[in-house]
Amino acid sequence: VAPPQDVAQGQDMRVLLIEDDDEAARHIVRGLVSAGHDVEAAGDGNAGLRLGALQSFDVMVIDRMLPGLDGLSIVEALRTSGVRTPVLLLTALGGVEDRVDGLDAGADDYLVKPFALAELRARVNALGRRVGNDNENAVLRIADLELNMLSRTVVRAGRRIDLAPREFRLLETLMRNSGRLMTRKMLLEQVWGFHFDPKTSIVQTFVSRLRSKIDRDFEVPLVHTVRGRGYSIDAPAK
Amino acid sequence: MRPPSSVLHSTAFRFSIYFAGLFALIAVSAGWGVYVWVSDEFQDRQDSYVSEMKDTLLTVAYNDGFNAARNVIARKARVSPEAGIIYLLTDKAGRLIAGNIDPIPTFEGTRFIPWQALHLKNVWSEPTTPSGMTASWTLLEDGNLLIGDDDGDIIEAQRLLVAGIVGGSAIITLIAAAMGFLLGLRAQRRIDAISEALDAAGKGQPHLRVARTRSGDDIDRIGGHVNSTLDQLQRVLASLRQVSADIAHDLKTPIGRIQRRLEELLETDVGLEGYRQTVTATLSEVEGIVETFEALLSIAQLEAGLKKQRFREVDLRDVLATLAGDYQPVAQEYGHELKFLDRPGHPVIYGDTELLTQLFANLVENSIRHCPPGARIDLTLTEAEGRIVFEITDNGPGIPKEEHCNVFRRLYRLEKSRTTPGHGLGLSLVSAIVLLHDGTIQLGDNKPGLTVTITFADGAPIGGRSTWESVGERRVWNAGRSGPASAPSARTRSRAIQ
Repeated sequence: VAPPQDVAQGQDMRVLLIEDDDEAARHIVRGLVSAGHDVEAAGDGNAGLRLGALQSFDVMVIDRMLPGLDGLSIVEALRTSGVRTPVLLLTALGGVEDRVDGLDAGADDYLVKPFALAELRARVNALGRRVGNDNENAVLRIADLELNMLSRTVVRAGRRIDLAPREFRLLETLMRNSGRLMTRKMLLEQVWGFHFDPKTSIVQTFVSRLRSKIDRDFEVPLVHTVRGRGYSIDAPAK
Repeated sequence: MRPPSSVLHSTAFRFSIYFAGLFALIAVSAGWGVYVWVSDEFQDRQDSYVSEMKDTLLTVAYNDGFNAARNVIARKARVSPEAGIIYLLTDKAGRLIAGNIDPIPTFEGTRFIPWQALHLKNVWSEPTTPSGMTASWTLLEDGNLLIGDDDGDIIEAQRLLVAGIVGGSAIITLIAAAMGFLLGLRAQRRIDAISEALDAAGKGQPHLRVARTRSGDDIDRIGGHVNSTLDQLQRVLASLRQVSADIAHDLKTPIGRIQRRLEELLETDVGLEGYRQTVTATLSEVEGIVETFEALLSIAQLEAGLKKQRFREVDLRDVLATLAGDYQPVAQEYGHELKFLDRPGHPVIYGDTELLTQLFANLVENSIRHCPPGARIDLTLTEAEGRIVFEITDNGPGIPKEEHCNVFRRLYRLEKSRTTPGHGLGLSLVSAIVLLHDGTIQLGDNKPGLTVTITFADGAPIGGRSTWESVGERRVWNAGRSGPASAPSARTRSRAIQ
């Protein structure tokens, strides 16, 4: 069996997983390892906090409900002691408040159980890229496509492209995560601020509009569809 | 109906007994007073009659001599039995001169002499009523005079009085008790009806109702409260039953599909690609189930009442303008035209932007998905007199009027929409969000098409219980204490918060 499509996009990161459910933990570890990550796992809150405070990781995946110390307290403790590693919080609770509480505690992303492994991988990858990357750059570039945050302009191959505000935001989000899969859910959250599942193909509609503007008139397509998973923007392989 | 023993324990009946007792006591006391007064009066009259008679006889004796007096007494003694008066004239030695009784010894003052001690002479008939005589001696020059009157009248009067008092008191007591019993029985029946309805509800059958008398008395008011509580309970129970049944039914279908696919996978050689396809399809079924559960949980959480600390001033114009911009391309793709018709005003409410966005998105998506291509979908937002009204209209198939109250039910789906994707939770979620913002939602006929109207109070107050209310044929979420009069404006509130 060939590895799933999105696994090839994984980069070698050190991931800390704090999860008390053995079966779920094994599943997540296997999924992250198969994506090329190096995973350290802890089965309870205190052990997890120790690991997180003593060792250095690229991303931490923390279950919210844990024996000993719960996930929110771990994140708070880590943040207080100056650990700024991106944290993905896993939870069985999906309400608005639960998510806000998680983000308030210092988590960077939030995933409701049960989830698809691909969704978890995509989010871990996206979080890993946040550290020391070019997030703050005012100009994003992929191949001959250039997006300027200050002038809010998009240029491809020297040609100016007009984008609607939401299209601009979509392109920006894809470009900041270039080479990485952005799931439909991630795009809905980051581009639209939707924390619910729309019943219409709003993401698909906007991606195809974006494509018609930045890809149609050019030889090499930059926006790629990962079927059933999401989208990515990527420079053509040389 | 309950056995009478429980009537005997009823409050009204106990009161009636107390009052009957009190009535009886008052009647007996009053009667006793009358008895004493009447007896005294009779005694006085008897005494004055006797002394008058004595004075007359003394006057006769004084004026006409002893013999004249003797003749009068002898004459009176012959006719006196009917008058009930005794006369006795003796000489100084105590021998009979005239009179209607045998001589008795003299005594001082007035005495009561029982009949047995008197030897009545010839004409006297055996007395019935009187028990004796009240008599006194008067000493004359040539003899002694005894005059007495029987107590027949007094005893007769007393007998009548006692009979009257006892009988009257008994009648009053009986009537009071009977009235009390009947009133108690009536009240008891009404209370029984209430407790029967509550008992039935306690046993899981909340469909009994208390008959109202419209008298507006306390029992009727309680009956009204019990009825409305039972209505609410019945609705909640019905929706609970329906939701459980619907969850079971709705989830059995995809779970059945998953089972079939996995079994097929076990029993047939589909090859690697077939295997992958089946697993992918199965996973998306699982995702659908998870989605349904998440939506159910969200609704439950919203209905339990979200903490409203996160509520902020939200400009609905901004929310809708952004949303319309986002959904116009989607509507176009479906062949519809989506427009946001903004009206002047200050449409700011106190709420949660994320949830309000979800609310409007849900309604817009409903219209987009359920209208055949070429539909026109209009969003309007008006603010007037402290009320903010959002309206979405389309010219699609609409929702039949008789279904208007059903579509807010969890997992409820119109037959014709069974084939389109969705879990039937959209409008439940919508109404839960509206309710959380103390608004009302109403469905209407756009002829053709659907109109959904949501009304918020300007800067709707936080909290306040809301209930379903039937307004004509429509069912409206009625916010507990929202209303332009009592609602502080969003501006005032924000100042208060700062």
